[in-house]
Amino acid sequence: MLEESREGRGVWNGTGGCLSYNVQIQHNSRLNDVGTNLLMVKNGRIGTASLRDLPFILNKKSTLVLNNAMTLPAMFMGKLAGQKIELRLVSNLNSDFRTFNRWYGILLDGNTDWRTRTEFRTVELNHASSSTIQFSDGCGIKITDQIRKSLWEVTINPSNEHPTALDVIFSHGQFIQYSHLTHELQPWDVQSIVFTIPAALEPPSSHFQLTWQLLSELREKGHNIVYITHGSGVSDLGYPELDHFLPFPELYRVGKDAATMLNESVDTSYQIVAIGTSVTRALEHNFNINQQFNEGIFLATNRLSSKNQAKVVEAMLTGMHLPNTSHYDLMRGFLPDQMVHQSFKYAKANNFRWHEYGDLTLVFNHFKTRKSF
Amino acid sequence: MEFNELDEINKSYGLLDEQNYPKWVREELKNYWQSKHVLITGGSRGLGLFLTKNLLDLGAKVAIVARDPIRLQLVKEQLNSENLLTLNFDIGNKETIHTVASMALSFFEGRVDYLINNASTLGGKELRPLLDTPCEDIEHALNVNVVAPFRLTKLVVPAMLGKGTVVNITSDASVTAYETWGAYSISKAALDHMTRIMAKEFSKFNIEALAFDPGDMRTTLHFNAIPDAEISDLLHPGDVALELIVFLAMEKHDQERYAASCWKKVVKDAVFGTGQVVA
Ligand SMILES: NC(=O)c1ccc[n+]([C@@H]2O[C@H](COP(=O)([O-])OP(=O)(O)OC[C@H]3O[C@@H](n4cnc5c(N)ncnc54)[C@H](OP(=O)(O)O)[C@@H]3O)[C@@H](O)[C@H]2O)c1
Repeated sequence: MLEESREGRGVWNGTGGCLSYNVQIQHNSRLNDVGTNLLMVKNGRIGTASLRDLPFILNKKSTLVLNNAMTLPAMFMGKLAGQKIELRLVSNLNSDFRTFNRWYGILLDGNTDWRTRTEFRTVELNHASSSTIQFSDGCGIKITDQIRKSLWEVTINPSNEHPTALDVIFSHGQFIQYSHLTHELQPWDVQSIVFTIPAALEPPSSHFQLTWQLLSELREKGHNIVYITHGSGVSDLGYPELDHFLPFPELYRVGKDAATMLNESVDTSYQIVAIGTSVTRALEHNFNINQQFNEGIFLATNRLSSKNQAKVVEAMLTGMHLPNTSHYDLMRGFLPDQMVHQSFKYAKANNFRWHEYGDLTLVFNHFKTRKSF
Repeated sequence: MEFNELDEINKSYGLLDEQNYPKWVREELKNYWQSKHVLITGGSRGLGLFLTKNLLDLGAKVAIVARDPIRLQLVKEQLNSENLLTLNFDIGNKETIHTVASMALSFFEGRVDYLINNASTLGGKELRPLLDTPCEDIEHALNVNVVAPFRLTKLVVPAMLGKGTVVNITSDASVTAYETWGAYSISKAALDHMTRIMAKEFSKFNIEALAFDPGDMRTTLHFNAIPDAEISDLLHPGDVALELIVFLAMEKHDQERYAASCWKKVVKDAVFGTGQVVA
C-alpha cells in the first residue's frame, strides 16, 4: 500500500491525561517501515519474536481471522453557527454495510487541526441540533439529534453531484489523522492489504504489518485464513465524558463460508487466532450468541475485560497498547492483570514501538481451555 | 474521423441481436455472465463501452471509470441500468484510486469477478520518434497504462480471492517495434510482462491474469494516433467486445498474453466451427 516514503521516529513524551509513559513510538506514516517486532505472551512467559516467524510460532494448526473492512474518511471540516468546526464520525448507525447515511459524531474545534490532540480541541455546542454543515456543492451533514453531552446523531445529505452518502463521504471527508504522527496519512497509508468493503472509521492497525507473502506462508503451513468485516468505530474521542463508553457498539458481518470454517475449526481443534481487537470483539460476541459461529450481520455490544474474558479466541495479534486505554483493558480478557502489566514493562524496557504503525503483540489466551465449551 | 459509438450501441452491437451470434451461444453466455461483477476502466468509449453494454445485457453488474463527466453521463443515460455504476475519475491519479476501488467494492458488495484494465493513453498528444518524445510523455504512458492497472489490481485482488480474473488490454505495439509509437509501446510491453508475473503469483489464490491484444479498432484512441486511418480497415469495437466476452466465458486459457489473431480464432472455432460448447 505504501507509495511515499517519510522518515522519522520519536519518543512519546505525552503530557496531559494519563499518557506520560515515555515510550518509543513510530513517528511516521510509512507502511513498509512498520514495526515487525512481536511481543509474545504465552503460558506465563514473555518474549520477543519477529512477525515473519508467525507461521512457525503457531505450532498448533490455526485459523487466522482477518478484518477485510476498508477505512472510510471520517473527518469533515465546516462551519456551524459561524464557528469553524470539525465533525468526526465515530460510530456507524446503519443496519448494513451498503448504507452510509446515519452516524454518531463528535464536534471538535476547527481552528486547530489533527496536529493538536483531540482532548485540547473539545467544544461546547449545546444547540447544534437541526443545524447542517453545508458543503459548496449542495451536499451536507445534518446534526439530527443530541444523544448525550458531546455526542450527536448525524445524517449525510447527498446532492445531485454526489448522489450517495458514500460519495459525499469520499468527496468531502478526510481520513482520521493522529496527532502523534508528524505527517498527514495518505489514502494508501490507511488501508490494509486485504480490504474489500468500506466499513471502518479507523484502520485495523494490526493488519498493516501483514503481507501477502506472510499469508501465503501461513497457508502453506496448513493454517486457515478467514475474513470477516468489522466496522470499527473510533477508539479515542478526546471527550472524557464519552471515552468511558468506548468501544461503542460496532456492526460486523460474518459470511457463510467464514462461519462454516470457524465452526469446523472449533470442531477440529484448530486454534482461533484473531488479528486485531475488533476481530476479537466480533468473534467473542458472535460465538457467545449460541456457542457457535453464526452467519449474518450483527452489532457487537460486548466489552472484553478481566471480568469478561475471551472464551473462543485462543490468541490475538494486536498493536502495542498503553495502560488506561480500552485496548489495554481488552488484554485483560486474555491475561491476568499482573501479566498485562509485566508485558507492558517488558515492551517498554525493550524499546518496542507504540501506536499505529508500531510493533505488535501476540497474546495467547491464559484463561481459555478447550474444556470450557 | 467521426464514428458515433453511442448511436451504435443500441443498434447492431447488442449481444441479443441474432445477427451476431447463434441463440445457443447467447444462452450460454447469459448463464455465465448473469450476476458477475465486472470493473472496467475506460468504459465510456471504444472497446470499454461495448464491453459494458453487452455485459449489462447479459445480466452482469458493471462499474466503469472515465474522466469526461459529460460523456459518462450520456453513457449512463443511454445504458440506463441499475446494474451500472459510473465513476468519474482519472485512473492515473493515485490520490483518488482508493476512492475508485472503494466505491466499486461497495457497489459489488465486496466481490469482484473481473477487473478489465482497458483505459489507455498514447502518452502525448501525437506520436513522435523517441528522440522527440518528452520524458513526461513516457512517464504519463507508464503511469496510466502500467502503474494505474498495477494499483487497481492491488486494490481489487482481495475481492477476487478464490476465483477471479485480471484482464489487461494490450496491443501488438508491445511486441512489434513501430516507429513513433515509443511511449505507448514501451508501456504496453511493461503491461505484458506485469501480466505474466501476476499470472504466476496470483495462481496460488486461484486468480488469473491475462493480456489481450484486441486488434486495430475504429476508436478515439486509434484516430488520435492515426487521424487519416481508413475506417473500413479497422475492426468495430462492438465485434471485438463480443468476441472477448465469449472468450472469457470459455475459461480455457493456456497463455498469459494473447495476440489478436490467436484468441479470436479460438472464439470463431468454438462458435462457428466445431460447435463446441462455449461456457
Ligand atoms: N483502438 C485500437 O486500434 C487499439 C489497438 C490495440 C490496442 N488497443 C487497446 O484497447 C484498449 C481500449 O482502447 P480504445 O481504442 O477502446 O480507446 P478509446 O476509444 O480511446 O477509449 C478509452 C477509454 O478509456 C478512458 N480513459 C482514458 N484515459 C483514462 C484515464 N486516465 N482515466 C480514466 N479513464 C480513461 C476514456 O474515457 P475519458 O477520455 O473520458 O477518460 C475512454 O472511456 C486500450 O488499452 C488500447 O491500448 C486499442
